[in-house]
Amino acid sequence: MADIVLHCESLSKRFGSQLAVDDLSFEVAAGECYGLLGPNGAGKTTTISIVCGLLQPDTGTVVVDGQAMSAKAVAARAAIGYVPQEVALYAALTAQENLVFFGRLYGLGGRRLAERVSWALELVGLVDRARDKIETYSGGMKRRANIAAGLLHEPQLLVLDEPTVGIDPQSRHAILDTVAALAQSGMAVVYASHYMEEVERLCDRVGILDRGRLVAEGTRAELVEMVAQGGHIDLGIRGALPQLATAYRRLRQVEEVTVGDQGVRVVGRHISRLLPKLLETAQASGSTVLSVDVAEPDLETVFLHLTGRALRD
Amino acid sequence: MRAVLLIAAKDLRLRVRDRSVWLTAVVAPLALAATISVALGGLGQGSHVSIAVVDADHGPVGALFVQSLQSPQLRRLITSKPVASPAVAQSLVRTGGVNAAVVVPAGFSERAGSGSADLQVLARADQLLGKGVARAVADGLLAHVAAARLAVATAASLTPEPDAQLLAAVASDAARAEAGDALADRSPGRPVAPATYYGPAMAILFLFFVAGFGARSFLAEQRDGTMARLLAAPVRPMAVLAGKAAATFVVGLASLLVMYGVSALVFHARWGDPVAVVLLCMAAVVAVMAATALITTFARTDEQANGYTGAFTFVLALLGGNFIEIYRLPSVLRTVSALTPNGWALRGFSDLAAGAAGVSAVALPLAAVCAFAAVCAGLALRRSPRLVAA
Repeated sequence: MADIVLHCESLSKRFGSQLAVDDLSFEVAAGECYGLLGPNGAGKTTTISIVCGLLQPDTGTVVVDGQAMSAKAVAARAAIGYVPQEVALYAALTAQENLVFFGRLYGLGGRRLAERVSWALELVGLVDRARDKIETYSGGMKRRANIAAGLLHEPQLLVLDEPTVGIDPQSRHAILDTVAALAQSGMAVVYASHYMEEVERLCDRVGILDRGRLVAEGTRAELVEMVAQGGHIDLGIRGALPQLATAYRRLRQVEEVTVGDQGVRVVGRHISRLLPKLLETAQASGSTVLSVDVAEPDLETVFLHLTGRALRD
Repeated sequence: MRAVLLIAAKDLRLRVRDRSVWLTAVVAPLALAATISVALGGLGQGSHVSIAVVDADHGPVGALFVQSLQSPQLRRLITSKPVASPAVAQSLVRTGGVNAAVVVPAGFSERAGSGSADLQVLARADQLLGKGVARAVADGLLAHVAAARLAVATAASLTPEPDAQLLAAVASDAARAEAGDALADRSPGRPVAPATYYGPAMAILFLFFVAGFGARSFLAEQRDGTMARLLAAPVRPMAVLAGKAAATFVVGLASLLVMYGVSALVFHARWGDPVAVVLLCMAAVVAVMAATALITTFARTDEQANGYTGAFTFVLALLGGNFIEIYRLPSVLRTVSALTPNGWALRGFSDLAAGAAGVSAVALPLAAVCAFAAVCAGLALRRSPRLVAA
């Protein structure tokens, strides 16, 4: 396994009577994109604030690139590229001025700083607007500039907190492509979002947060596997549909079979493992399978299964 | 230190691009100071008072009084006009020929030794300044007459057989002190030209707003998320605090120095010893910064901080003499003004403008402003985690 860049152990944080983060532990390796998925108020931002040293946990430890994070930990902070939820840039400064300022704050200077600023602007597609003030940017451009500011110093760990909230689909795709490319280049990425589609698309592993607790963690396939129900298979069939439906109902994992005009819909448990049996049964009954459409449960279904609530509740 | 300078430079760049800062730090104080100066008697002109003097005494003390009104210290403030009789003086007062009149009654010199002598001040009801100055000059003379009487009595009691020459010398020395000195000594902050007074007064008033911008910028950075980004960088929170404070200090000091330069060059205001003026400016900036920072720590939002600092500014400006010259305030308010940093700073600026030489001459106002700054800064630092927080 690649080097562990972020190690969080037993993090807890309470605000008054509310437990915002509850005994949270996870790790992120170099080149891995780790998704923190949960609805608003699940504890994603609090977790990220603790990881970045902006909040001190009541209990637990954070180690970034081998350096313990604390209120005064300079080295651990230097290893992190932080992209906050808000567009945290100075609106009256240009994108270039913002990047130069934050680059210098991370110790860059001279030619190296100029190169990194150019690289970051190119990466997020803002070279042409580099000398325009941030206040003149569209929402999507601001978000892209916001990401660029977190990348200047080549961090070991990139932490993004809901980076695509409120922007157009084109900018969203551009941001997701950028993050994916950074993870592929070897950067460890923590990507917090309540957009299930983004997390599914980007992340190698996902931690599902609910009310401050990590209720499940794993790859998408592992998480989906945890959910037995919720998938279905539509089969286009030429043959005797009623007889085939009766044969399907005899299978152990099948819960429901609906006969349509040109095929059947089978609802069952562990749907991906059921498909070969459905095909064998169709062949045995003398029917011809013309088409197959498998609808597996997604992370939304997983979240619903684990918490009893929808992600967007 | 690098981070402090970077953050200070960034904040300065933001302030320079903010038109409201230019308006508050430069345009508004200059415009208000000029307007008030013109309204109160012309640019570069002092609050000059003309006083008619009637010497019905024709004795040595009456002559001393008439002579004292011609002294160099009083000449900048008062034009004295000897007239023949109380009736003529009354007429001049009524017609506005003079702002006030002082009558030294017949037999004043003879009664001076007994302590029953008094001077009559004539002024119209609307001539508050003229009446006040004439009364102050008259009281000054009476005080010196009383001092001479006390000195003679003391000398006589010490010698079984008083030497007539010695007693005369003692009385002469005691009475020689000029009424102008008395007037100056009795005033908290010396009377100076309106442009000279209202230059620093308006600059300090708007300094509160400039410092308020700086203090509220902490909350604005929290609101915009940039504070979180700064604190996530490899930078100590104290560096963020110091950098932002340094930028506010530079803007505040620049605001005062621009007022200093423009009022001196354009309005011919006399500020006095430059080194002492700059030191007093620096102390005033730090004190006002610390006070507004402390007030801001009690606010949760930028808007709330705006309300708090605005109210605080106007109360302190009113009590400290930014709107009305300190030496024209009632004695109660003059005392209260000594509890404000702006009040002390204005006393210092007035003293320097009135001719006090060097830093030592304004050591007390300077020390008072610094003490206020130290107390507020200490308290603000204790509460600074509220400002430097994500």
